[in-house]
Amino acid sequence: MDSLMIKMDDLEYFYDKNQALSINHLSIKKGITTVFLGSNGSGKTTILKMLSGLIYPSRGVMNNTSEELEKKSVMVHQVPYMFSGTVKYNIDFVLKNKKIKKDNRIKIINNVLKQADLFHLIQRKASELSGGEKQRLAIARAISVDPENLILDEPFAHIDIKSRELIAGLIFQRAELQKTTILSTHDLTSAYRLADRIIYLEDGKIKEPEYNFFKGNISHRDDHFCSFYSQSEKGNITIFAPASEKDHKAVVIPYRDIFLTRDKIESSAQNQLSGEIVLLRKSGSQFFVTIDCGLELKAVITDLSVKKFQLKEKKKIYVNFKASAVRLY
Amino acid sequence: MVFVKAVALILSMDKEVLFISMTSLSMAVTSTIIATIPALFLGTILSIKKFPGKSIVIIILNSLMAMPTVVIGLIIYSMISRSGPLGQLGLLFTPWAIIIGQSVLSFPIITSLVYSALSKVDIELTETLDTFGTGRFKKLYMIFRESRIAVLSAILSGFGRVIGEVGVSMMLGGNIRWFTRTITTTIALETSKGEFELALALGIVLIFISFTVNTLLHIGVKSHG
Repeated sequence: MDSLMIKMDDLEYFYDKNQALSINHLSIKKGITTVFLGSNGSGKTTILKMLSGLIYPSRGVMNNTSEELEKKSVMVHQVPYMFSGTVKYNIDFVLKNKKIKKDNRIKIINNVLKQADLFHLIQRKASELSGGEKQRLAIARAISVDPENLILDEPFAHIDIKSRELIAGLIFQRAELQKTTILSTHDLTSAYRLADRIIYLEDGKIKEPEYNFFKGNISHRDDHFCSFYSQSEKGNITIFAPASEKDHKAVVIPYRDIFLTRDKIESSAQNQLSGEIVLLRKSGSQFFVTIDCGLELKAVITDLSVKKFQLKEKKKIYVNFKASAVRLY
Repeated sequence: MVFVKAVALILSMDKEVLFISMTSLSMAVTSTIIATIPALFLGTILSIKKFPGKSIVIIILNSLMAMPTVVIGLIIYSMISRSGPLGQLGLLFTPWAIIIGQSVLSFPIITSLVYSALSKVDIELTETLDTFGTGRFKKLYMIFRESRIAVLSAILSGFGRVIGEVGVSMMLGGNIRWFTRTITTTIALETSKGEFELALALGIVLIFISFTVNTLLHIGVKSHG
């Protein structure tokens, strides 16, 4: 069975004659939460509509046709459309569309409304709901049909904390069931907490990430530090981070805050990991270095440093970064 | 004094006031229904389909919205008069002649406003329906359902145009007493004779009809959502 939800190559999309999207290559795995992060106008909505099958690429190749994507996906807009009628009607309509029998429909409606904490508003007109409630209803409506791919455009925009947490909870529930969720946001905290993978968009193009991003849990904390235990395909690792009382789910380390040394050194950097260079890639006047330290860390260095340390793939190296460089989400 | 007499005519359920009012109302309702069916069809086609000459059709429809009623009356008169191509049907100076004229009068208004209403449908609505795999006919039903107030307004605008017109009714109906006399033709006639009681009574009835229609629309808007 194909483990990819989508694979696209040399894909372009034009609004009239303006290029809105240009993607050389992108593949997204099934069963994970993928977040598109980017500012307004970066092409987030366009790519989400394409992944939902609502718009067709102007050029390029995809492993699924738009029709197939439309059948498998449900998209929730940033400002979701509520059908005129009650909260119940909004879900009942889409369930009827799927030819679900009345008894089952009632069960599903009650269940998803409870999950979205909207059950007490079941007979309320959808148009009378607040912005956060509408967003929750739209997601509940989407979840009610249990889509293979749930696609959410800016689900956290202009909503209160309660709605934000409830929506995050609904996304976590899908993640636990290993269902594919794709969302866009420009909210870093939500993105890093929810995502298994983050894709950065800028001016309609996929942008080179500038941060190492790992999922995991805080395993120990004291007055000075907390240690972040991260699991990955490559292994487990503990990263020292600033002290925090909150429950964090992800750690982010900017490439630029990592420095490389040939030998183990005495320094104030709390994180010092040994590893092997697995990839050295030139981009302009700088190099992106990927080091396998149990998990893969990336650093960005100048071509002068590459020459000075005679860096090449498979070379052993030490990766250093301060606990304060580690951002917890 | 004239006003009191006019009110008395209405309250006493004067037979002529009643007949004229019912004639006007039934012809306006019938012509609006006849015009609405093709207008909904064409308005929908214009809003969802792209075809060559579409903008020309829209320009023509918009131009026809402002067409003077006497010109429409004249064109249809030339067609249904004894020497016209449809003269043998004997429609001239019958209620059907008025209904045909009023249907022609309201058709471009309803079509144009339905097109305008459906064109303004949120892209989020159509995309939401698509993302949930809504079939073509159900999608169309939902678009109409969600735009029902605007569509209803379009139909009522057509009705408003025909209930208050005088040119078509006068030219094609002939203003024949107890047969094709309508509220507006009676008002025109009675006023020219200097007999204002009946004219005023019918004017009040016309205002009442207009008020009722708008009230119903307002209630519809309030309950929408």
